[in-house]
Amino acid sequence: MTDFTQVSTQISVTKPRKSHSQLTALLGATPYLLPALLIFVVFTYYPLLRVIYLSFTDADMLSQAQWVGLSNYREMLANAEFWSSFKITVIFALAVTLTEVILGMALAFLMNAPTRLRTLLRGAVFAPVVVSLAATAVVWNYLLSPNAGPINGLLKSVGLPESGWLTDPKTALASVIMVAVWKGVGLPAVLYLAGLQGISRELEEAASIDGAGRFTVARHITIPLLAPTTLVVFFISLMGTFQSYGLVLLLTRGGPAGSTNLLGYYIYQNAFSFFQMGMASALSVALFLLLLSLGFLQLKLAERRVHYQ
Amino acid sequence: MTTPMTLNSKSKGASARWGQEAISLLVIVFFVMPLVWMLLAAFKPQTEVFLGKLLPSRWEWGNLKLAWESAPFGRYLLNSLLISLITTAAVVTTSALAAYAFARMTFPLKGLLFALALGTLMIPGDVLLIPNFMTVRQFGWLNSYQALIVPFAASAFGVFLLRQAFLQTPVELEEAARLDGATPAQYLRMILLPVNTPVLSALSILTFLSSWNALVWPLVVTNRDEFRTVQVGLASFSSLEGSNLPLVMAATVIVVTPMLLFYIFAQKWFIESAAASGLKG
Repeated sequence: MTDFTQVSTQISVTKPRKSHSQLTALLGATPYLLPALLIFVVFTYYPLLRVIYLSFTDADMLSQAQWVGLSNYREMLANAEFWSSFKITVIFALAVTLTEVILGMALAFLMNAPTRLRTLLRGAVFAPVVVSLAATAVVWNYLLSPNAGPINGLLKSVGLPESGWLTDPKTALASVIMVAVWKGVGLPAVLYLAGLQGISRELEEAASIDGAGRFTVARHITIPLLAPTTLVVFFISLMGTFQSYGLVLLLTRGGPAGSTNLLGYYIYQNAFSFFQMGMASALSVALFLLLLSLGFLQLKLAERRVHYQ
Repeated sequence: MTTPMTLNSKSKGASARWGQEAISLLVIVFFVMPLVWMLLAAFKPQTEVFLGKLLPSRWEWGNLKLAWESAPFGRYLLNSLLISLITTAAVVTTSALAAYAFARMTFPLKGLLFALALGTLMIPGDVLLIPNFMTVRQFGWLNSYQALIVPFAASAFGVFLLRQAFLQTPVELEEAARLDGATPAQYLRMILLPVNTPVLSALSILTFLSSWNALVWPLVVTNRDEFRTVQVGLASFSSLEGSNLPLVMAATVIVVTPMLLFYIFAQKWFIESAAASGLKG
């Protein structure tokens, strides 16, 4: 009993002082933390809550928004256009990502080789990353013109059949994928190049002294050692392509016949062409959940896989 | 016995090297050709853009001037430059301040606040387009520079990148500065930032590039020429003048040239900075 009072007096003596100094510490850090955290709260966390709230309303920017419960979600899941858009987004994201991983790695090998054109090669591969999306769209829109555009002209001159490219529902998505890879593969290539330069030469040399050919070394030593880079490249590219729709916004407006109607563009259109903010918010939340689960998948894989070197 | 073998492997090495040079050349052409086509089309007479000939029969240098005068591209470029520079300065400042607190100070709730900052990496900006548009509209910021700058004035990636750099900077530097009577703010500005210039420059170039090239957000929050960025200006010019291809290509040349020139002169800087962005993953 006496012990208890003793302890409690001790606490009551030290506690205010400690919490006082803690408060001082927090106040001391506040000027440093506040600018960044304020922006995160106002432009990331608050809008996240708001988009979730809006998804349960019929907000249309004109009248007062009414609570409609799950009806946006129900409508979304019953809408064939949503599912078609979802499918197109998955195809687009996987196609661009896989191409960027494979091509990015191949380009990095080439960029790392001691060729005379090396500097020029690195510069050329990365140049489209620097060119804006708007300019990319304008240029490729011209290059892929169905009637006697430069690329069709080129195909014709070597005896290949011309294509409708962006104007044909059968080829439009593939064309957008091609433009996206042209524009985007520079980043994975540079990330792989950095990865390659981080691998110790000795390992590869030891293997080739042991009689392994160039492709064997690449397959059994270099590529496995690049696994951490592959993981990063794969998810950066996947998360990026799942939400990006700038090219589609400028090149095809989701068409022809809805063949390039990416989820991001579908949201944009619902929001800013039809002013269906509630529905667009429900779609945004669906996209967010999708990206969030991809993020967790990445974390799980990163924990499990990348313990080489 | 040994001589033919070495000869053989040598010539095999040489042909492999020539193969690499040839593939490199093809790759270079694939990535650069679209830009060359753009450049050449910008100087063609309108009747020649679809003829399939690479070079114009006569060079229409006037296209460039005509494009420049058809829309306020000077204003667009100035807007973009202003917005990108201020955004970059703001990101570097807010990131450095927060990173310093997370790397070097002890305060309650530190873990939680750091998680709050990094958590924004999991929330993609495109998902927030609608509520942020509404917020900016409520602030009365539609058609303003604030709308194009403030939402991007802080970056979790920046905080993370600079925190790593500050953690790797020897603590002794800070102790020495404190003994000399420097306040934390002075230490940050006069020592910690200068010794971490490479990381700061990587963050700057990545921020500048993404701000300069931003499309959807500026498209949504501005519709007046005074506040339009060069990307939005180009997109609207191309949809208005779509039929006059040489003019549209000339406008595109005007829009991409500043950034491409910057890139050509600072290629290494760009590429090394981009490699640092892999830490995001």
